[in-house]
Amino acid sequence: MASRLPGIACISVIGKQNNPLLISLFPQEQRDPLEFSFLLSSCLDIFETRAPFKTADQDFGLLQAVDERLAMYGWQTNTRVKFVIVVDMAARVSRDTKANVAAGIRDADLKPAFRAIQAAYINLLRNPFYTPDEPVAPGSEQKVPSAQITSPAFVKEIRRIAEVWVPGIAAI
Amino acid sequence: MDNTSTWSVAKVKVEYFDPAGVFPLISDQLDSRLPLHNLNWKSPKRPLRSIESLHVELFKSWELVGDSSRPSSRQTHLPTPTIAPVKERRHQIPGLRQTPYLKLYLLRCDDTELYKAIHRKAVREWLKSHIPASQSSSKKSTAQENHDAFEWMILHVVMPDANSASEKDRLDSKKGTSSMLEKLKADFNVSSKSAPDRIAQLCLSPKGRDINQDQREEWDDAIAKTKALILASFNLRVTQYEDDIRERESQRALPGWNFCTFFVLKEGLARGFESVGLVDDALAGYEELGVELDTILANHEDEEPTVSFLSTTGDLNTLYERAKDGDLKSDSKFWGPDNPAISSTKKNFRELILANNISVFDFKCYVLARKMAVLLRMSRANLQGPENLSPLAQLCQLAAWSIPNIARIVRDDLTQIAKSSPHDQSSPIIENIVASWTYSAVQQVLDETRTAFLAQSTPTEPHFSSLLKEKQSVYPKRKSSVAPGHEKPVDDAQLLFESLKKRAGGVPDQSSTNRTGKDYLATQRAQLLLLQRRLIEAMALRQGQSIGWVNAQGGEDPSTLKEVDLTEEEQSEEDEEPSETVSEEEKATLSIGICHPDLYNAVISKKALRAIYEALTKEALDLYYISSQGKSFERMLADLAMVRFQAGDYAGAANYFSKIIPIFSQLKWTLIEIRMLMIHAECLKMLNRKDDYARMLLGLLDKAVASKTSPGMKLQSATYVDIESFQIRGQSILHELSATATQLPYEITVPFLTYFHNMVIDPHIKHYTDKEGFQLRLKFRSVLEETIKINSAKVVLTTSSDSGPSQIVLESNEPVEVGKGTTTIVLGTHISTLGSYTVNRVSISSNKIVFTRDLAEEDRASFPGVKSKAPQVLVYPRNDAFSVHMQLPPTIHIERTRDLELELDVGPEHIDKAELRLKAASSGLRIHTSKVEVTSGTATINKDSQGGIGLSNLEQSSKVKLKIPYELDDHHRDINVKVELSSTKPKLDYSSVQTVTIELPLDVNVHDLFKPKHIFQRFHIKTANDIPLRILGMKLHETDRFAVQEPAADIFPATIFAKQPATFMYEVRPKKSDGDLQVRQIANKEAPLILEVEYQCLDDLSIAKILTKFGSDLEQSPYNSLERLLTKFLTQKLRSIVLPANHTESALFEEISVPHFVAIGWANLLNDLPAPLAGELATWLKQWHEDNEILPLLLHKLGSSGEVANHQPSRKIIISVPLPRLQVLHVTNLKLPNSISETIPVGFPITAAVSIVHSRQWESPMLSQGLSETEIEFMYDVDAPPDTWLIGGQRRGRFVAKEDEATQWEIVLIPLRTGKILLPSIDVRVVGKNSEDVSCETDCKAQGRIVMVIGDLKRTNVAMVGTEAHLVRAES
Repeated sequence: MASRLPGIACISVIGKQNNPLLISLFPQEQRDPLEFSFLLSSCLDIFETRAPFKTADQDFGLLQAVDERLAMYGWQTNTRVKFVIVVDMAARVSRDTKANVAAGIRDADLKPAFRAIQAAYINLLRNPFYTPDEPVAPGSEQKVPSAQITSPAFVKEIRRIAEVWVPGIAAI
Repeated sequence: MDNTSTWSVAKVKVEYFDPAGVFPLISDQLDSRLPLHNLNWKSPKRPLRSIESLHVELFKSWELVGDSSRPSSRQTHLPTPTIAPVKERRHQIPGLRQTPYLKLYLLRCDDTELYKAIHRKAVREWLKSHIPASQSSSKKSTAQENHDAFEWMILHVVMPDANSASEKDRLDSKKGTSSMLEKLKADFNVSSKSAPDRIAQLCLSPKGRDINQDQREEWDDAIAKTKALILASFNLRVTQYEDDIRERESQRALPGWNFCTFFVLKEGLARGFESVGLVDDALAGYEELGVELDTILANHEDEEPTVSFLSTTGDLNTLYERAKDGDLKSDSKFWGPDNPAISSTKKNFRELILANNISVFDFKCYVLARKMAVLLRMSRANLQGPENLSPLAQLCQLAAWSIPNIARIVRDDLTQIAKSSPHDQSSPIIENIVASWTYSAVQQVLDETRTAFLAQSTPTEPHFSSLLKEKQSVYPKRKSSVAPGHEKPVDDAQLLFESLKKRAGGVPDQSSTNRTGKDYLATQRAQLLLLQRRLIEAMALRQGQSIGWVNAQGGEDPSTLKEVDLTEEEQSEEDEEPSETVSEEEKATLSIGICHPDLYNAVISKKALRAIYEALTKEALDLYYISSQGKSFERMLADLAMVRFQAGDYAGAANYFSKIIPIFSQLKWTLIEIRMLMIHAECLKMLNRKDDYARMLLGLLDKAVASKTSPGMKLQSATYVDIESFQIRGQSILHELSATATQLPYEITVPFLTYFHNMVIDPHIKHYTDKEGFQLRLKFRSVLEETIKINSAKVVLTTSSDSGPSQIVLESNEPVEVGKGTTTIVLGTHISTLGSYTVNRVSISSNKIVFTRDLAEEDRASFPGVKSKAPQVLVYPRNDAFSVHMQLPPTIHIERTRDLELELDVGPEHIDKAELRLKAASSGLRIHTSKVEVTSGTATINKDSQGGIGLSNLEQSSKVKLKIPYELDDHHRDINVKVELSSTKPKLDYSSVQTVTIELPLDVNVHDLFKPKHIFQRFHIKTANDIPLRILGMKLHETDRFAVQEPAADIFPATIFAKQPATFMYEVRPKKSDGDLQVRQIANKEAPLILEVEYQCLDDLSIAKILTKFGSDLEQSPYNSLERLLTKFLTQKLRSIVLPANHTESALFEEISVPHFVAIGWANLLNDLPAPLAGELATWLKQWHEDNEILPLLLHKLGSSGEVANHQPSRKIIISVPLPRLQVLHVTNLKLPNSISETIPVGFPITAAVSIVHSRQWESPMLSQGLSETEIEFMYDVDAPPDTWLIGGQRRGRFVAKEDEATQWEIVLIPLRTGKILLPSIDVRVVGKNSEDVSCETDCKAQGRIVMVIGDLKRTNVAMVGTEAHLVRAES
């Protein structure tokens, strides 16, 4: 019997105003986007609660264990853009028949993934054609910018990160 | 202290040896000083730790002095379950044992002698038996001893009755006791400076007496020493443990290293910390252990396992077997308070660990349980005060994070078990056991942390459920979740939100720290509840039931969005049966392995499932409310709304939805928003709220389109939702919308652009071939996937100019199926007009839904200066279209009522019946439509028409002229009249505003000169507007009384230029009747003379000339169809750009210079025409202008036919000229003597005869009769410039004259200068009282007579210089 290994189920970028900029699911067809939307939306509270106690560190670590399989990890940039990774503890089938399920994953395991996302995001911001998640001009009707990230390169990079990541990876 | 034991607070043990039985005497005082406070432990490797309170447990040593073989026994009850068995097996690995930290010797000895004799020896014995030699001497102690390191102390208790007789004695006793103390110190204290003082003394006061100051000091001293000694022994133990751990750690890489032994060792340290109250350090220790365990587990598969764990757990195995055999009662708790899911005491875990006989599951559980225990202790560190909530929250968080992990281990464990057991792998047994364990474990944590929290929160924070106006649904309620009767809660979502808002913004009502702790705890408890809820969801999902939002896997495929079968639902609610969907058999299968009542109920009854789910959600909602976790709170509300919906409470659900949706919508959680909108819409449908439903559907479509059209949206497949493909009750949104919209009582207006893009209106009109009016093409692209049926379309054109109708409505009433992609709709109108129009509004309607685009509004909203997006449409009539032209009639009779001439150019269709309406558009203008007449053409006027002019039988292609009288009160140069004509057959709506210049282009003045026999009438004619006039003819008609003599010369046609008015003079002579002059009639009976002037204006002429030429050329060209448009344009331009000076020029040169192509500004017009046509037309026009730069203007004299008249009919003005009345005419004369030659010298006096003849002949005799009786006084005046004539004699005088009376006298005139000079004039005027009634004129015959006055010279010398003559000398 093949056992299952952790993998990334979802990577999300959430804007300063708590508006989703990107929600990528892996594998897409097996995940319910609505479920993840709700999970992502409600985990923002945790960022808010923990932020005052954070210093320079951007890693928010484990935000929430959703159930036996899913666990959410967070990262917040200095500009208060948040990255959330949802790890599925049984995302991949391992050929190694005796892979261990008992050991969870540690917060540090996600750091390379978050760093890679941040690098990709910085790259995205360097693109002059991308309008970042900027504050809306005062007096504007619209309170929240609708800058959804649609850059194919960014989306592709996020997918790559999700596919490459395994617990214990040193860098992506 | 009893209650503390239940809280499992680890304590420090202190053993006392009380041979004299004094302990009861001091125990009261001692208890009041316990627990020990403010101990400061300083270890060389650690920062200073402050132990706020240290719980001490005192127990008696039953040992007799010298009997060292007897083991120490404890008090009956053991304070903590962690205490090792009574007689511990000495293991190579020393765990921490509950050995005392301090041993006390309670010495009662009042007499020094006695002490020396007995007690000293006894104490020595005690020391020898208890204190290892190593400790008393400073030898290196063994590790084992150090693990149990302790200190000792002698407490000398002085009885109150000892030497208490008198004050003196007391002093003595004091002395005595103090000497006792000294002795003790000398005997037992080590004389080193660093050594601790182990001797303390307590003097007891007699019963009932308070302790005095000295005694208090003694007590303080004793306690301080106790504290110091306990710390010292603790320090020793810690140091030893740390050394051991270090040593073990260094051996980690060596083969045979065993994690389990290391674990037990390290745990010993943690327990040590725990026992002295250093819970933080204890927790840190367990954290490290947890991490190390995980590391070991992660590396479990390495080649050299450092530890081997059991792959399965016995308990689980048993459970599995029981479940498999059906021995397990599913509806009862397997794990409960008696059998906690997470426990550190259930088994002797430490022994098992040391024996390497533990499963991963048990191991993890043990570590978690220990951590939880420590945290629980932390929360109750302060026994008297309130609970510390932060550790509880930490506990919850720890549990929330760890339990899912352990659950995986349970699953793994069970899978291993199942592998070895021949059983159906597909059975839900494993799932069920895992779920049950998880559920129970979470429940255990919740139970353990609840009491304190609830006690804290309820008084100040009303539960959210109570705000929901619903019965509190806490745990007990949930256990009997199949509630009798269906409760219908009255939820007020509004109230919820307001309350939350107030809370979020409100001032914190408690101290911030506790507040934070409480928020934290609430959040974490809610997390745990969500874990439970998730299990319920998963449970439901496995049965194919839907609960909350978790009812669909993969939102991409909407077909998997399982419909909630509501009919079935309602049924099941009616007959209270748990559920029909699950049969008993299935139930048994599904519930196998379940061992928690909640889960069991959820499986067997859909209703219970919902109730449990809702209760969990509500409780989480409460907690999130308390902790102000907005986002999670919203999520709970969303879930609650969904549950409401699933329960069939549509009103409640709709109420929630209407509140939550905007929150998600605002932050662009599109997917959530849309899914909620869908459900909300369904609620509205079920509630039969058609209006809201329709709007909701529209909103959904709106979003569907928006998401589809925003760039790059599809890339983000997770956020992209194909909303359109969603279905409500099996019907598409659009279908539902159409169905709902037909039932609405009114129309719903929605923005056009949302659903239809690329809207284009072809600005080039297309005329109908067979009828009036024109068509436009409306093109747009539908972004909806489905086909929508459009019933009608409408385009409204407006114009700001007033030349035509202000608004044209084009319509198409043909139903059109508008599918995805581009659609063209042709709209038409029967209106025929000319002008530039702007598209104001476009609307297409599908049933009651009207898609509207208001372009005018868009323009108004855009920034000033931005080019208008509204297309301009140039509307012009067909060549043969019906048209109306209003002008002044060719003949104008000044005195009569003026008329307007209306020329109807009937189009290609015969008009049976039409109504013509004229509306004055200038102030003071009144049009007498009732007096309309047909002047030419065939038409019948129906008088009975209301408010307008009814016309019938207008022949096709004929011209009908109507004459309508008007009056004008105000002065205007032009008047405007709005002309509207409507006809039903053929359908015709004509509208235009006609401007008529009513100012006459010429001014005529008349001047009368009365002579005795006749009157001269002089007519001055000049142009009124600087445009040259051509007078074609002029006639003054004679009357029955007066004959007219025309000027003899043939002067017509004559051209009058701006600054050259012309004068025409006629002689009017009274006709003779029977040889006598007829007397004049009375003024109003006398017919006036009639003057007719026939003229042409040069501007009309030249413009007509140009237009004629243009028209005839155009007719030959292919652009004939544009004739109306081009001609009108050209006319307007010519009128505005050709100046009077140009006309003057034309008149002088008799040729017209046609303005250039550019000057006309054809380009403006061409811009509005379709491109290819415009290009060709421009070429043609340019050519025409080149060919026709100069046109001849034939101003030749009129022949009999009059060539000019061919181009432009002449206009005629008729003026009646009444002859003025004159009562008195004086004929005066100044007669020079005949002797006076033609020339007279200067200064030569002339005697001249002045004669005045008074006549009243011009007035009728009848009237003069009255006058003849009256004597009228006149004054005459001989007047001449004083530098010309010197007048001598009577030059001014009064006189009274009668009819035909004449008088004559002489005056002397002396000319004063040379040259031709006029004779003085003689003027007569009426003076006196009648001067104003009597009209009087003077006909001076001498007027204008000239005499030549020369210088009276005898000789003149003139010198000629060249051609110039110079007067040299003159002599008179």
